Amino acid sequence: MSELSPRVNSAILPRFIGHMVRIPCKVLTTTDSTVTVQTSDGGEVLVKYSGDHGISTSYAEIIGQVIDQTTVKKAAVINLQSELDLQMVDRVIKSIHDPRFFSTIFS
Amino acid sequence: MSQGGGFYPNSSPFNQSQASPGGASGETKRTELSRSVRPLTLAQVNKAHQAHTDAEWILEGNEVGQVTVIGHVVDISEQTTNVLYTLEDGTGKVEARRWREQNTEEDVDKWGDIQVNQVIRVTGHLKAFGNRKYINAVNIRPSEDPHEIYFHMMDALTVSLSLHNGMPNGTPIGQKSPSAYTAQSSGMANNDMAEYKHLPPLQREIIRVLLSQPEHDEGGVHVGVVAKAVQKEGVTGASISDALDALMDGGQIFTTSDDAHFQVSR
Repeated sequence: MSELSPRVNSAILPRFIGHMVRIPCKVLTTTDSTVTVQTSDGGEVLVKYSGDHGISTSYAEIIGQVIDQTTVKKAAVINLQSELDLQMVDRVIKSIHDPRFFSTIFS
Repeated sequence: MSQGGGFYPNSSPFNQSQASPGGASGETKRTELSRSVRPLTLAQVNKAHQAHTDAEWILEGNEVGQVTVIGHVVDISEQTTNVLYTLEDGTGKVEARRWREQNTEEDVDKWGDIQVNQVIRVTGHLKAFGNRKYINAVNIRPSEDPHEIYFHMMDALTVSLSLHNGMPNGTPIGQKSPSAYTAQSSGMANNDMAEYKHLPPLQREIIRVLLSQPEHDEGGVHVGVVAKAVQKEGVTGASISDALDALMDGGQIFTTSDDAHFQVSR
């Protein structure tokens, strides 16, 4: 379970409070200690970080621990490029969490 | 004491190639799978197991040949004879190992410049050392397009579901809507209808009715039975006869005992 960090959108995020998740997202605004991002289903999540946020592209995948329904503490970030079809990503996220497929994708 | 010249159907050396291609445990299917490349999520890689060293790898009852995975590099461990990449894709963690080649300059050219936090695609064989599983990489390349991760997840899901349920009806592999697959693959767990997907709906419906009738192998199905089964909005007697004529012209069906009985050409 510790290796599990499923990709989520803002609707599925609350199911994983206390666990690690991955959020593919569009970076909206950044401050010194937080980054506001838009998830694939249009919701907004606040990402807390310390040190350098390490985001260098408009789209990124934030890996972190879920603190509450709209806050995540960043552990790592993967920079994606300047274009990402979030609608497609959202459909994939919904599919992998569908109870029919969850056990095939995850262990 | 054999008479010589006899035909022994079961011990013929050609028996294996005549094994039913559709049989789940037929020899042909097994060897085909062992030479195929299967997209998997890392959790699936960890679920695969082999009976003993040198036996084939099995995942959910199907043999697995080579695998291809996408993950992001969490750690790179360089040793004298090989380089070990630790990959994670959100479903699990797996190590991919690549053996160093003699000439180190060629190494970098061939294997790219893989760094931590990069997303890469690894294709290779499953191997186990002790109780740890690795992927022995045949090919590693950085994944340039971020959409590739999502494509790969759907690819892995599709292939697993197809192996489980049979091919989806007429929908080409590679589309990103699994809901379309499951609706069809649960209804049609065989690929009988795949040949007819280019036909208009009424003709397809007629074929389906003909195939579903138990007597369709013998005397053929009476046109009245077909008509009753395809009876719905907008379908008239004339449109059914037109459809039957078109199917006969196309060679998909033919008449059997008389002009009113039809059977599908197989």
